[in-house]
Amino acid sequence: MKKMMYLIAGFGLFASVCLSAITPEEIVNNVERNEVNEDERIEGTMVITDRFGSREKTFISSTSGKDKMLLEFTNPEERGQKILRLEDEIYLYFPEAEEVIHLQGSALKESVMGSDFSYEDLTGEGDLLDQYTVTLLGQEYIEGRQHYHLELKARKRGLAYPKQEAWVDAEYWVVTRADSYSLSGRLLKEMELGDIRRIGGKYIPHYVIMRDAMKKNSSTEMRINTIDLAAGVSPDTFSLEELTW
Amino acid sequence: MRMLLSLAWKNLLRHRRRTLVTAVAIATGLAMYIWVDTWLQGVSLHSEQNLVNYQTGSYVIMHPRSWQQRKQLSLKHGLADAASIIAALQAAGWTASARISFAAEAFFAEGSLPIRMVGIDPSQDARVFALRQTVTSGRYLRGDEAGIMIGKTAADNLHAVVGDTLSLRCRTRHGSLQTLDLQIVGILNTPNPAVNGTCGFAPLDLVSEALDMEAAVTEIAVKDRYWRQADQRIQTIASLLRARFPELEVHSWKDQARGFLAALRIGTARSSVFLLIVMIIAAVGISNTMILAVSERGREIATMRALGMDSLSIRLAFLLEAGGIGLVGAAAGIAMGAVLALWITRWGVDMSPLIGNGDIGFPISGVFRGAWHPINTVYALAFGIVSSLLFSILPVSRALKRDIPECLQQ
Repeated sequence: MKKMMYLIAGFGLFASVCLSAITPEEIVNNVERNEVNEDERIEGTMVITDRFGSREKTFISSTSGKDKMLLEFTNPEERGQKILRLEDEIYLYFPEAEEVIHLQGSALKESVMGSDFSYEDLTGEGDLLDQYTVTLLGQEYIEGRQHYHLELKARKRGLAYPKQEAWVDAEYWVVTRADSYSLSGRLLKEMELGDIRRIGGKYIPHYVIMRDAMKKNSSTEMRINTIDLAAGVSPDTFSLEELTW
Repeated sequence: MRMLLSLAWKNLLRHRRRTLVTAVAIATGLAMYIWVDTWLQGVSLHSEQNLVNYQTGSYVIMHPRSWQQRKQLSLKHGLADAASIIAALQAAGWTASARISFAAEAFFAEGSLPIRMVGIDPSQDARVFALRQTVTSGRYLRGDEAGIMIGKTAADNLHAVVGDTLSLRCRTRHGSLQTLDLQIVGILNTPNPAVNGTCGFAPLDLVSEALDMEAAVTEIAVKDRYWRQADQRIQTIASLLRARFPELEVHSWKDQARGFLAALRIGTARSSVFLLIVMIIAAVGISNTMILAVSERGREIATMRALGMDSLSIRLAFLLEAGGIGLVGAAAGIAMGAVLALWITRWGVDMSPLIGNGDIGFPISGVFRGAWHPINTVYALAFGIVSSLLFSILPVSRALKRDIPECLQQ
């Protein structure tokens, strides 16, 4: 009898170990599956804080898949200014000048509206698993919730962030924290995501704060006020013609 | 002729006050001209010297794509075999130094500042540029340390002193973000405000490794004692490169400073207009005096005509008198101008209370020194005499046309 109990306990332990042996690639795939939506429309607020004070901007953003995004500012100071992303290309539109600027090369490294996000951050870095070697460092509890702690190391030269660390909520498959490092290993940026809500079967963080670790009192907060995951955004929205309309 | 000269001289002494007033007007105008011209020549000369000695070198060798993108400080198209290029230049008698120029952001307590960083081989670079002599705090950089030299204005803006650690954020050659923590070993106070305000210098090897340059550099700077004749002498270096490194380009300091030289030409033209106005004012003074002088001496002219003196002799007498005033005024003006020019070339004017360490568009700062331009002084002398002569012709001609009795009754 005792022998049988030990066998059952041993089997149960073995089974649980097997079930929890998720690979880092699977974690990344789960995160991307949760992140990417067919069409999405967001109204939000961005607060940029630096040594000169805080500035608030409001925006409407439409996205389609991973590669297309149109963001239009709606606050009085920047009303009508737009940012269009088509895969790795970024276009800016300034209504006063009626001018479209195509950002290329080193211009992509510039900050978006003085925030802690760069245009490069907006383009993303393509397929994460293609760009980075992902390692599962372990599991941690953050605010009572289980997280997977991942380390991402660039597979090739030229990626903006040669090393990143991410903490993924094990239930929601949402990155709740990400740290980005320079080639020499110095912490560059810290990002935290919160206010996670379930919408349409997905978990969407409604709050993001990005901090520049090299500057004092420098942060950019983004808050989603409304989100529509079945927005049915027309493909024409993501065109240069529509940009100037 | 001797009689006319004697007459002219006696008339100059007879109308002393008028002679003095006119001569002073000429002298003041010419002295101002010489002083301002000396100043402008100095601004131009020292600006060019400061560009060559602290910023551009006499020539720069770069990859053509790198040259096109030099304003963006692109690291993409470097010079892979800098050692061979430098060896070839040195074998031909040139002094050269490799550099890596890149953009960075320097972080300090309250924020950050964009900075133009230059990776240098300190000992080699000191043979091409004059940075070593401008260290005002700390010491010159060594090649084997994680150190940095920065300009004084940049240090002030960063609230940094020697011994502080400066954090820099930049991009590698392939675009990855990189950071460098370097200790400030020296602060430079060069006469070039662009270098003082926006430049930092770190060891070449350290920069090369941090930026993943794979031993490539962005440029090779070359020194030439006769840099003023760069347009002619650049062909020697170009021929040398064509033979062994045909894919590379050499550019003189003038190519690198086109924008500044264009601004200088505009500034010089603007100043020439100012000088012209000064000379016109002096000329108006001269003409006014000569018209008065001739008009008041109508009876004298009529008497001379009545006594049988021909018109040509009368004209010559007045021309000699006018020329005499011009000579006296010009001589005084050159003497005054020489004193002013000596002051401004020898001691200069310290403009830092006015401009501080700010950039006024010229690569000079602090004390402004002049540069005397002898040919312009000769022009000034000639102007003083010739304008006096010219402005006396018309009034004398008018006086000679009037009836002798009418003039005697005046």
